[in-house]
Amino acid sequence: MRSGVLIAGGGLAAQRCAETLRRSGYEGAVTMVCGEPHLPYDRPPLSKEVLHDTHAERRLAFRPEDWYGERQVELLLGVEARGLDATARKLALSDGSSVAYEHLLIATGGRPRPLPAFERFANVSMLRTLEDARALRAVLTPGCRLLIIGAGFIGQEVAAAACKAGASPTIVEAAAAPLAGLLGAELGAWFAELHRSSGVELLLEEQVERVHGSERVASVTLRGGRRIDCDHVLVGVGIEPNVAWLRGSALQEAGVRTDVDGRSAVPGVYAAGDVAALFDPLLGRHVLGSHWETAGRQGARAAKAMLGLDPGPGAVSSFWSDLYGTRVQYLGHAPLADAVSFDGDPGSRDFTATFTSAGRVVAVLLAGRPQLLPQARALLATNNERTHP
Amino acid sequence: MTYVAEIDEDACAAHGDCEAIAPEIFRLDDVAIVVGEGPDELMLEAARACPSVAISLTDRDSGEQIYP
Repeated sequence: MRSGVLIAGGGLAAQRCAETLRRSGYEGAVTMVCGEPHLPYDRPPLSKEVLHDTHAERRLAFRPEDWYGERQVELLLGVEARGLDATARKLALSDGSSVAYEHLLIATGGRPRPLPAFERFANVSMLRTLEDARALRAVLTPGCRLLIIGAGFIGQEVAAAACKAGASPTIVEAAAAPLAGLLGAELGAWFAELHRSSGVELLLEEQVERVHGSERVASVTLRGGRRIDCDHVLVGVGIEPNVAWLRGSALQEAGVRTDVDGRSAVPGVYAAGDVAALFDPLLGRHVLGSHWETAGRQGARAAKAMLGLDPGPGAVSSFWSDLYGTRVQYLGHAPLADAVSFDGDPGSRDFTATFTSAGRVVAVLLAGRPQLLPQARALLATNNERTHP
Repeated sequence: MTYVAEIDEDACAAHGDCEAIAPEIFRLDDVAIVVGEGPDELMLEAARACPSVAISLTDRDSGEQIYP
């Protein structure tokens, strides 16, 4: 088999690449190798409404099945990439076949990082796929004591969804506040208060010292000595790029390094999304992984790069989340900042945090102010132009 | 029905929330497109839901920008 563009992956970056190819008039064969048995689908709802609403999963697919047929995008569902022969430009697949390509997009995503202490127990979840979300939804019944390890995005969103389902979440986080490494102590404290005021127990600067139970985790003892009983555990301590299948190829194993447009060091091979480490000119280094909007834009940029089209300016790093009815939106690179200022009360759910470095705006966080996003975006774009003409 | 919706194509990241809320007004092509009209409140709900804030609403009678 032969495909002009072969896309290894069925997530957002993969989908946006296929869409952009067809939209740009590309007429060659396009094949998507989707590891999961589902039509390409959107993951953010998996840690939100899918956990408390059984109907929500009907809306997950990016496109109806017809869309792929009409645009002649071939879907290989339930098939994974297994090995890359970059010299022969061939990708070996899990069904034993291999596909030759002119351009390959590596968009195999990531997988949740496991915690060895919890690996052998039956009542421990990680969250990445629709199956993971279904399994977690089944246990999030009223009264369920859910122990969440990690207050990153997954941990925080699952805590909020668990509350909606009537469960009682407890979060254990090693840092001094949620997202403190990214946003700093003050905003970290704001996120902490958001959870606590919604009835979530949030234990900070804590780690699990011992896990008790035989087949199921019955309780854990924290380093500080406290013992917490639980019915179920969710481990949300970040993700690792799915690169094991690239072993033996010339591509780096801690994420596929690419330039700003997604080109790897290997001719004809591109990468986008969680598996990719794109070069960020603002930071002057490669950055592994990305949030939703960035992943989508990376997939689209890679498509344009394949076709020799101008991919336009790179997307500013961003994320959004809905926590207990408050929309939080973030743009830029807060760790570059030397100061943060607030418009509105940072103790409320309605404020703007502006991060500056030597007076230049490097990031903006909006709480409950979605209408200000275009302004924030324009502000950051102007700043970036000034720094990188 | 006095609001007119416009999509900022550069800002739209094809989240699809607008289509989910108001399928008779918005449809997701490669980016969202305006395909029809509907009640002002529904347009406002869809515009507010957009995580990328790519939908702007203008009052056709007064010319006033309603959102964002």
